[in-house]
Amino acid sequence: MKGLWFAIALLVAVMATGVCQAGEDALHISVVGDRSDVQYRQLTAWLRLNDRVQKQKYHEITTDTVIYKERYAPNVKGLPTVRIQQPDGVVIYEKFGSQLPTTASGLHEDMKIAVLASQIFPWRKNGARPLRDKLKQCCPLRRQQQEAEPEPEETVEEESVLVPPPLPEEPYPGWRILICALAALVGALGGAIWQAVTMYQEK
Amino acid sequence: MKRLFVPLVVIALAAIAIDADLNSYAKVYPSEFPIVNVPTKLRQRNWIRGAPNNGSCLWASTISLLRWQEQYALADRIRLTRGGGEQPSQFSKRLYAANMRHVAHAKGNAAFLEWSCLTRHGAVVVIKNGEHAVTLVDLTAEAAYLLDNNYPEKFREISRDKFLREWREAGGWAFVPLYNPASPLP
Repeated sequence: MKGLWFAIALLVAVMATGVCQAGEDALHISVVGDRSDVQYRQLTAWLRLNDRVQKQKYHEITTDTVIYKERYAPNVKGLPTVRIQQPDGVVIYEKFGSQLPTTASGLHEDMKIAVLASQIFPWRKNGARPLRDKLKQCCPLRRQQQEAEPEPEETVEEESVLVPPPLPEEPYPGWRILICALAALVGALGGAIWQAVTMYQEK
Repeated sequence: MKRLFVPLVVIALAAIAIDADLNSYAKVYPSEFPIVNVPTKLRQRNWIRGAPNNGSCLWASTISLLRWQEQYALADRIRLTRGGGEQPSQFSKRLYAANMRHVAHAKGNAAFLEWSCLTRHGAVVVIKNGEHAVTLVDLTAEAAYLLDNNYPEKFREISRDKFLREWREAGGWAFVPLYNPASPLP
């Protein structure tokens, strides 16, 4: 039984690394919807009263704004939407329309679980879509649009047309895998030794 | 039954490790570029107020950032009621009078600008010996990206060293409105 507790302690330690890393910056919580939609107004009323939500970067986005048309319309699946993103843009919670809980406490609980899950399992994100990300890297539509815009009549001295810098290489999360692998190894060894000792004592 | 616990835990841990390995390839999230990616329609073009050469670059840069930070009413109010050239010291007083949440810096420290970009707020910076103000939308190790209110159609790239030198020569003054910047693209 001690082997089990030992392994559980290691698992908790692995989880804690994710929790500590996630606490570096505030989350973006966005509520997107039609200003006249009753469900949208209900959601915003709930979230405005939630202190924990208000401590994060909270956004109310209505469909009649430019920011909605430019930044939300292309990626929102339905209205109203509640979305939680990490500072790097990774979506850790997104629900819309009838998927959303029908009570304030239900919504808060739902969001809390999603945030906790993302902290415990930092590699588990709703936004993990490798194919889409690879396509984005190959043919970023937004950059093409930028390039297609007409040149201004005058150019500013020593300035050049926007050329995006190379994307930073994603740090390979080797340390996290290493910790998991070590935890598994130590857990297995600890368990095996404990079993051997127990069996020897029984004999 | 007890003997099954340890192998089960070991299997679970191994599964997590494998899961981490498989998903590590999905962890490539290209960050938005530039960080303060103000939509074209929200960018405020410079305007003349009073004398023909009395531009409103400081106000225009501020308005673009306020719209990026979803303060549309405040931005519209400034557009209607303010304008014309301003000295940074006078401008700061007006910001305090307007009760605008902001932070200003006048020591030419690049770390302040880096912070403003990393937090997605952006910054209004003074260049050209204090004659012009623009919006800093990104600052990398090699380059600075500016939104010039005289040419708001495109972001401009300038080498980091040149930009910092010019900024410091102009007094090293910068100002950051402190509201919630737009969320990153998913």
